Amino acid sequence: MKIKYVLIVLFAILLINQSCYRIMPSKGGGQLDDVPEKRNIEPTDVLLPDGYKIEVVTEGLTFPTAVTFDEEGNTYVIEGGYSYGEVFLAPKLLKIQPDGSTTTVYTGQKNGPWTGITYSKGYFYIAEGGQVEGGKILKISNEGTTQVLVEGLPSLGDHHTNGPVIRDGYLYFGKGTATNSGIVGNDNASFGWLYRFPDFHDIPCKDITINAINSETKNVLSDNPDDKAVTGPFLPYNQKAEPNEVIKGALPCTGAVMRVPINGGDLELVAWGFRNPYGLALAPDGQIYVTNNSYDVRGSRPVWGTGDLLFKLEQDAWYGWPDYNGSIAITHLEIPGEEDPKKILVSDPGTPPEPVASLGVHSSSNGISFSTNGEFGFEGQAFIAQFGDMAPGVGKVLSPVGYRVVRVDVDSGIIEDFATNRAKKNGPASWLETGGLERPVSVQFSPDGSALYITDFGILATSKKGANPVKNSGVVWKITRQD
Amino acid sequence: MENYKTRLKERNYRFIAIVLLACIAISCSAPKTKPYAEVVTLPTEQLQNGRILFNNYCASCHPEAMSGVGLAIINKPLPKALIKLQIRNGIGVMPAFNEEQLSDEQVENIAEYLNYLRTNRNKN
Repeated sequence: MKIKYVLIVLFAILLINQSCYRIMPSKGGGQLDDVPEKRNIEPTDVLLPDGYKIEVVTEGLTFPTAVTFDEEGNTYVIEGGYSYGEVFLAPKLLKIQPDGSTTTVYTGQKNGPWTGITYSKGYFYIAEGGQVEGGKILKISNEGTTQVLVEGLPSLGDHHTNGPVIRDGYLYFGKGTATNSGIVGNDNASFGWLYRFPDFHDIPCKDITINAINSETKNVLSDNPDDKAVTGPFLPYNQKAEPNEVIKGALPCTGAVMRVPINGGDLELVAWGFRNPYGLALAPDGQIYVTNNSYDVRGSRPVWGTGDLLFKLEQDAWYGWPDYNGSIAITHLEIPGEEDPKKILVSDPGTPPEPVASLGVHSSSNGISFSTNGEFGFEGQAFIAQFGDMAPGVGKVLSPVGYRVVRVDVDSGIIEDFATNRAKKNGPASWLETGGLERPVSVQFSPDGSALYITDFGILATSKKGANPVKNSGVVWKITRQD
Repeated sequence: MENYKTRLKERNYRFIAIVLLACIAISCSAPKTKPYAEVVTLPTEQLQNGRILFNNYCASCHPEAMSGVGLAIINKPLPKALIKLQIRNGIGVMPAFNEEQLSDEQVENIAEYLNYLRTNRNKN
């Protein structure tokens, strides 16, 4: 009899659990009541596996996004020059001195964010996000002379030009999509770019045929508050799609990984159908792996419950956007209390490859680097920086997601925490009111593999009004073995 | 006698209300577990399979079994039978996983892994 009651109570807990999602408010890590102007930094607040230690390399950076190293062992960091929240600054390449101070090597144009950097034989290669003029790949010499390897990349929207990584004389880079799931909507006005570039939209890499999935919204570009905008996929705002309309493919395109010879040459398509291929890294076996930020619950075609994915890069493959997340059709994903998203493509251009690992929904799993040194440990595993959720703008979370560095066994897909904040809950340091990790945006092993550098973007508060980044709150951390 | 019956009824309603409120409090408050960075070594093949399946099918909503888009799932004393019921039927916003997606053995492995995690991680 007693067991019966216990089971009834447990079942009630289970049932009520399921109702919680709808009644509970979003609790994202960026949803701060008070946004601190200055950051507290305390390495002992970061939790690591036994045998590792963490230290601060440099701090006080504004929107840092990545580090790299030259052949003499010097460490460099880039400040992105742009943050969500519409903050435009000049991006910078900084050399970090042994005492943690920095000197400027090169200052870029206000066309950020610079999202990634790599170094090879006397040159820095930088992915310039391109929020103002379109994306570029810059090649900067040690002396500060610049060559533009690629320009005019369609990066004026939600996602930018990312990467880069070098293999066999080619520089590979990612190019994110203009929109969340294919249709320009009023969420893009909230980002700011729709007002600047009202004709901007997604561009497929190859010809596609679309269904007439049209979205009717208030026309935010009209002075008349009663005007409506009807917008179809892969089309400019307020342009309607016709049934079986063919959208011509082009290069450069959005949602793709492309490559260019490091000494200059023609742009080539490697793979497409990504949403936001943020991090690219070379594994010890020579394969390139890509992190892909998945859909948000926003805009004219919101998509619920899709985790960020880690893929192995396959030449010429189509990775599923805008109708799949990995091998799962998003049209099967019911949004709580709303309709399922409708399929955009009349026929799929291919079969999306299976992901290597499924990461947290809204975790913003970004920069990636592989352990290559047995003395550091976890040799062959992928380390991924999780920037953390941007809730509530991207959708609701019941608790902060991300804000840490995870390691992934790429053979099994098992994900485990490597560096996270020491607290009773998960979240960024500003939310926990500690001095640990804030928003890790990228990770990079040192050339000998003995140290893992974490680039921590700093404080970025979020609300329904948008993002509110805090300047001078970025940090570069370094993790090494203690013994 | 009538008064006694009425009082008994009132007591029952009160009891049910208290149990319901307690369930809501347990379910909807502090649905978190502590972050954990130590290397986890699992003693059996069934648990190792459960971990792989959990990572492939469950972890994106319940990262590290903690709360994310979904609730934390190792901070409640749910028996394996109810975990399996939840996986198969997907009550609430969670999608259901049918036999084509996960076999009975695989569901059993996931439930076993979650119970192991709840017992051992919370102990640590």
